[in-house]
Amino acid sequence: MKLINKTQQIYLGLVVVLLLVWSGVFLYAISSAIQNNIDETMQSELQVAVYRAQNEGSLQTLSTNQIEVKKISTIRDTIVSFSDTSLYNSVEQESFPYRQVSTQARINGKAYQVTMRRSMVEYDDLFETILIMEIIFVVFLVGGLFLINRTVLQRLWSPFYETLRQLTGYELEGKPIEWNDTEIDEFRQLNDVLKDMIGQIEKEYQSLKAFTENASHEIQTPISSMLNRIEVMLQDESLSKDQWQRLQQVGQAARKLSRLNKALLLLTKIENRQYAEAETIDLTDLIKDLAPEYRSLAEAKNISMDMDIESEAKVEMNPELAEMMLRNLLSNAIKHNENDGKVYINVRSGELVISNTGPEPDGDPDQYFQRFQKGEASSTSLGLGLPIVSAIAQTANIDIDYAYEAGMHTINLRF
Amino acid sequence: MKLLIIEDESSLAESLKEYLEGEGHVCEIVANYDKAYQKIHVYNYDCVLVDITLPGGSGLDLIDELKKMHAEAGIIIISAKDSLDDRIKGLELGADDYLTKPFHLSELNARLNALMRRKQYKGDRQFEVGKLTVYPQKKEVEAEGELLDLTAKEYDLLNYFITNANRVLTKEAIAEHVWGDHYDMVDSFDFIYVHIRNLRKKLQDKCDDDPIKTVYGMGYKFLNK
Repeated sequence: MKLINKTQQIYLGLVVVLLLVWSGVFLYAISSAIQNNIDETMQSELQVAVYRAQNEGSLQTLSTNQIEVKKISTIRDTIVSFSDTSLYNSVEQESFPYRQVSTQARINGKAYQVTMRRSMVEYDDLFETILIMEIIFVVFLVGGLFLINRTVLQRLWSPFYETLRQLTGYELEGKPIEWNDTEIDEFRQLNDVLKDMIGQIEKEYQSLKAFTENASHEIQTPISSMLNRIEVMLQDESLSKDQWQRLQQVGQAARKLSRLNKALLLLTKIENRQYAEAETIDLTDLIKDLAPEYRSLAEAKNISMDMDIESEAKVEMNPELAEMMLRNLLSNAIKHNENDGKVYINVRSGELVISNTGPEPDGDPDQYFQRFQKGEASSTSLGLGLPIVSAIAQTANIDIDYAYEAGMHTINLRF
Repeated sequence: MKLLIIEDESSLAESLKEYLEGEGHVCEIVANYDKAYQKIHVYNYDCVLVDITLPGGSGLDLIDELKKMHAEAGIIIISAKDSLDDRIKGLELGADDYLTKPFHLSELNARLNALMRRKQYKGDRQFEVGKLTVYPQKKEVEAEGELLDLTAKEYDLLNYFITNANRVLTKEAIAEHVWGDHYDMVDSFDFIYVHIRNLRKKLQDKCDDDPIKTVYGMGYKFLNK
């Protein structure tokens, strides 16, 4: 829920409750004041009428349509009592509320129950009017408050929302954030803190980037010089075959070191999102382009490669990474295969499956996506192929699964 | 040919010099930007091998400078940076080739020869090696006047052998040449064997003699007497 709406909800909820309570109290106070007033008026009118009747010794003055006189046997109580009642009006065929005041008095030596009634219809109308006015008042007040609050809150919080918007669209090394000036201290402080933090992050990112690239460069150059010297020595015909092979092994180890360094740098770059530029790529086009190259490789092991392309496979990703991912998967499918084996490539909508025959893997397949977890002991394998594939898949929001079933290794990409 | 090696790692520069002088080239070494800048303004070179990361400046600026001077020299970048961006930047500036460290000397030799052939003869000059005649522009090879039916990869392979004639080429060097950057994704050299077997068969069919020799346990050697 939005902050503004939540604030409004709490605030207006409170206002409505308060207003309702206040309206009730107000209505009650008015009605009891009016009631008292009516009661007092009626009481004095009744007493005056009874007094006059007693003085005149006649019931004449009491014979109005508001007063009812009933003969009773004896006076038990001369206290004036009040009550509410309703009477049926035969003309309007409806009951109406009445207030009645009643007393007992001795007139001409006889005991009477004298009751005066007054219709409360007009007072009910009055209450009704007051109630309606109150409701209108509450509705207008709450509506007005809602609108005013909304505008005010929106204006007050706008620097905050602007900061939020900028942060949401922020990318490392992307467009720098334009911090808007605000007169509210807290927001200015927030912006300052964020500005410092982002500056720090960018600085560290830059230095990490520079470090990984420099480290790689610094390592590759000496390896290069080592390998070149070995290569020159290998041409020396006075070397014995044994010496030649040992030298060759040193060369292989150095070359592996170099590949390892490059692969780790690549992983770091992928994980640092240094391959940011993405475009829409159809993986089927890419796989069709790459397949012939790998087919010739597969032929060396007499492996057949079958492609079944049912639909296009459009993915939003970096083209360099897409190629790297497919190359890794294709070479894996051939590398971890057996002579006269098979490779199947199947593209369905939203799914690319590469499966190949091969011996059952030892170790936990879930670990294959971890660095340096090799399925089989192979001196030439770096154990970084699948981690690279998995890191690439992650940048492109591709789900990747591995399974071994019925003699087939299957890699499943879902996008 | 006269070559300039611009490389700050002296050991690497020395090994390049040693190798290239063995190939009959004349080499000079400079180890930083300023010296390289002076050299290219004073002397003419047939080819410049330039590292990108140099003390005192970037090799890319040197390439820019060479192009501004309209120097005739061929330019080969040798760099440890292997991202596509770096390559594109280098080639856009006018470098003729880009080699990623570490590279095989035989690969450098092949690239250097191809570059020189393009520069000197504009590529349309054939040359003869033993019984073979190579037409670099058409990417064709004739054996005793008869055209060999080679695939692109086989032509490439044969050309690589010819440029590095009489030298042992390891399977790794061959694989890297044929597969380029992606050779390291392949751990089997079987396919090299298949390619070479096919190439040899075609050569044997047209001329009785097979110039490619297997050096057991080491690799292959192209003999050019």
